[in-house]
Amino acid sequence: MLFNSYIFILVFLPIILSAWWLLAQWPQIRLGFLVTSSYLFYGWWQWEFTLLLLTSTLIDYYVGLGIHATSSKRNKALWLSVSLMSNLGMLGYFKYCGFFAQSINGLLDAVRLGTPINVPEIILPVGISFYTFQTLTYSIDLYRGEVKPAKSLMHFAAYVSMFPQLIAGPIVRYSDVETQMQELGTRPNWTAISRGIWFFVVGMCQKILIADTVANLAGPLLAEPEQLQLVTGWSALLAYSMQLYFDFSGYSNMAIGLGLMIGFSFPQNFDSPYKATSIQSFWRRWHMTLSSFLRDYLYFPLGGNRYGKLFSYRNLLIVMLLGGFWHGAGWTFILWGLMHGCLLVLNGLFRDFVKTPIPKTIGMALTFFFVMMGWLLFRSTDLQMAGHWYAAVFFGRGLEEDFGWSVVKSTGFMVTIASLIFCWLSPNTWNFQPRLSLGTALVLSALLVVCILRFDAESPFLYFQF
Amino acid sequence: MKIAFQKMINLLSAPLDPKRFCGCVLTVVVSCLIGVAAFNWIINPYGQYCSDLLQPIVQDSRSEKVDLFERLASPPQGLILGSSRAMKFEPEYLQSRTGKTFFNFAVNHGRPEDFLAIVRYYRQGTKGFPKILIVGVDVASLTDAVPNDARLSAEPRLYSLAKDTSSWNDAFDQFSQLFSYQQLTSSIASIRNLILSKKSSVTEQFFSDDGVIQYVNRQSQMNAGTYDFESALDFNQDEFLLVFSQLNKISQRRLAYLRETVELCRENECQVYLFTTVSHPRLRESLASKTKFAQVEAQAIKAIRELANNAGAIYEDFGTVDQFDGDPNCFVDGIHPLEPNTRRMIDRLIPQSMVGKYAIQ
Repeated sequence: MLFNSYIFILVFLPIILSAWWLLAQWPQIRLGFLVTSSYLFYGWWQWEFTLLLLTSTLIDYYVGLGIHATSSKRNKALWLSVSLMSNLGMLGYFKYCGFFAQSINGLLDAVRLGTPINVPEIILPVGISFYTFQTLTYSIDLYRGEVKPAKSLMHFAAYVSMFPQLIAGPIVRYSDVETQMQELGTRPNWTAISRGIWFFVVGMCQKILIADTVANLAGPLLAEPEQLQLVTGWSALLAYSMQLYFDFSGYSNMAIGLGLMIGFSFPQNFDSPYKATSIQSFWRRWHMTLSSFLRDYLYFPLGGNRYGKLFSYRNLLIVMLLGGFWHGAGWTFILWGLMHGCLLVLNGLFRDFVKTPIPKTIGMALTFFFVMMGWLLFRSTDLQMAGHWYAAVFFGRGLEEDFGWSVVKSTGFMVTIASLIFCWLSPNTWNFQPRLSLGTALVLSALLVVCILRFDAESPFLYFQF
Repeated sequence: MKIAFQKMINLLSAPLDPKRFCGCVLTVVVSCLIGVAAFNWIINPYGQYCSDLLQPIVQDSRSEKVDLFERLASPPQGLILGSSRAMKFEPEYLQSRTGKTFFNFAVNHGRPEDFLAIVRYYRQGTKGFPKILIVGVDVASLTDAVPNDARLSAEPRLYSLAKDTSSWNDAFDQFSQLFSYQQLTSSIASIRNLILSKKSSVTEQFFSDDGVIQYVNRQSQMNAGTYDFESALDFNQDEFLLVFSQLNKISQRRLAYLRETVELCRENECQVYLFTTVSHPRLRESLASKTKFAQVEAQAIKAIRELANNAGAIYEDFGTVDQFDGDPNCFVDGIHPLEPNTRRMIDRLIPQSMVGKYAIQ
């Protein structure tokens, strides 16, 4: 089910919110209701995959109990390996099987050995990358002794399946919601709900009014990458950069807003990333919950920066490479991750050896330029498409006959430029505290109604594919 | 005036406590949505709901064809079913080949559930069955990417015979369209047409007594050589890219309705001819390169062929012009063939050898 669908906004959400607060006196029933409705939300797309969600939940819950019950380090590690193998195994099968088969076929074909492996057509269960990571964090945190086991299976199932953040994050750790789940409010917290409405409407506008509008520019241009030239290449790149940011940030804001409406506070996922003045700062601002996951569960275990600069650079490369691969099973994602790893290393080298700071504006422009270069790889379906697109943006395919006027005068282009300026100048949603007045209520209501009217053009979120 | 304005500003900026703020947002949103839905329901721009205050801005072919059918002096011996892509199949030409009278009952966005309803309607009205049924099946109509056409449920004479084919999803889809931007703009256009006494697009095309569509402006532009075929083709490309980008398999539900239609006819000694409808070569090329059209089309052809073999129907794939020696220049747009093409399809579907068979009867 999509947040931007009639079934969600007209049926699912009103029922959930009413029942959630009506059942406030019975915490277990309430959690059971949340789990059931979250499974319904997830299974709306393809119910069979709820079994996968259930399997992951059951395994990690009992692994968690196992880890907690034993005092032996070796046994804890054994339990943890069960969780790692099951979650990564599931992810590997559904997400990477086809990619590996294709890559091996490609390699064998190159040395004239044909394509002996049958490439399986496996449907990727939506949100699998997110919930497997969440369940993993629980097992690892328990192993490290950083959290206590979930109070009950229902508590753990509610944590894993909570519908606002189930499909595309933010990646919530058990420690983030542990206390909140045990101290669920019995009366609506209207301050939190009004803040939730603010986040939800802002997120909806980001998605419907901005991301979907600029997608109308990027989509058709990128459908024929071999036709791209200088202006169309740059327009598509700018438009996609805006689409991706507003789409994903919109989803996160809606998730956070919905969380607040049912009394949960989720972590921030975006902090105006296009205002970043360095690549390092960009990764502290973009998909923050993934960045912190990679830092805490991959970079630190690899040694972090404890063994000198060289090791820390190596670790950065590994982490970003795997981060890229997490986004998608394809060479373009691997290259994208590698590119960001190299940029982070260069960023580190620059910081260490050049002591003069870069002016803020130049830093911001340079960072945005390199981030866009990365998005080009990220969006390309294969290396050939990336090649066409890079050639277009770097003068390799000349200028359009009409100097790109037909694109520049389009609504999509205007909205792209306006949203870019908006990104640079406006405060972050988290730092903006709207004044609760009749005027604000009317503005937010009007924006929400406009967005709902646009649900007729169904458009899934970009991050659902990861 | 100034004081009133100042009062309004003060009212709008006066702080609200969080509970009142939430209540205010909820009230305004719900009121606006109810208002929009009521407005769209009353104006009913696509003829989907039972309100008939204004003329719909799109052709309501189901009601029109039922009216035309009921005006026929005697029931036709053959029926042509399908979507708008089959509306140029001429009963007169079919009669010249088979000796039997025909009526073109193709309706906009005709899907298998419509075919079943129309055949049941024929049985109910005439207490019999046609002798020949010709059905043009669109590949998209055999998928779940397109919902039941709401105009079917707005036509009680057909809908009463098709209720078992509509799902909860279709009903909700029809309800949710009351809140759509597209419907709202169409309702506003409808009101504007009324105020400006402007003729709606319905009058640009009409059905002749035998159910064949007649394009008024387009035909005269074609005759004058001023018709903008490219824009018409672009429109189809955008529409079909959207449809086929969302699907990768055919619908078993819709296939079952088609099977039921064919079996019902065969049990009552009606010869059924099925064919898959044609698309312009350039549209096909575009769909094949950007969507899973070719894959879905192959699935649909395989399924219809199997169905035809099992039920004793005759099937021809007319997806490309080559398959019936068609002419790419005889199209209204990317999906609607003109008479020279529909006649060639009829020639291929009912070959000379079969003509004798019907003539003897």
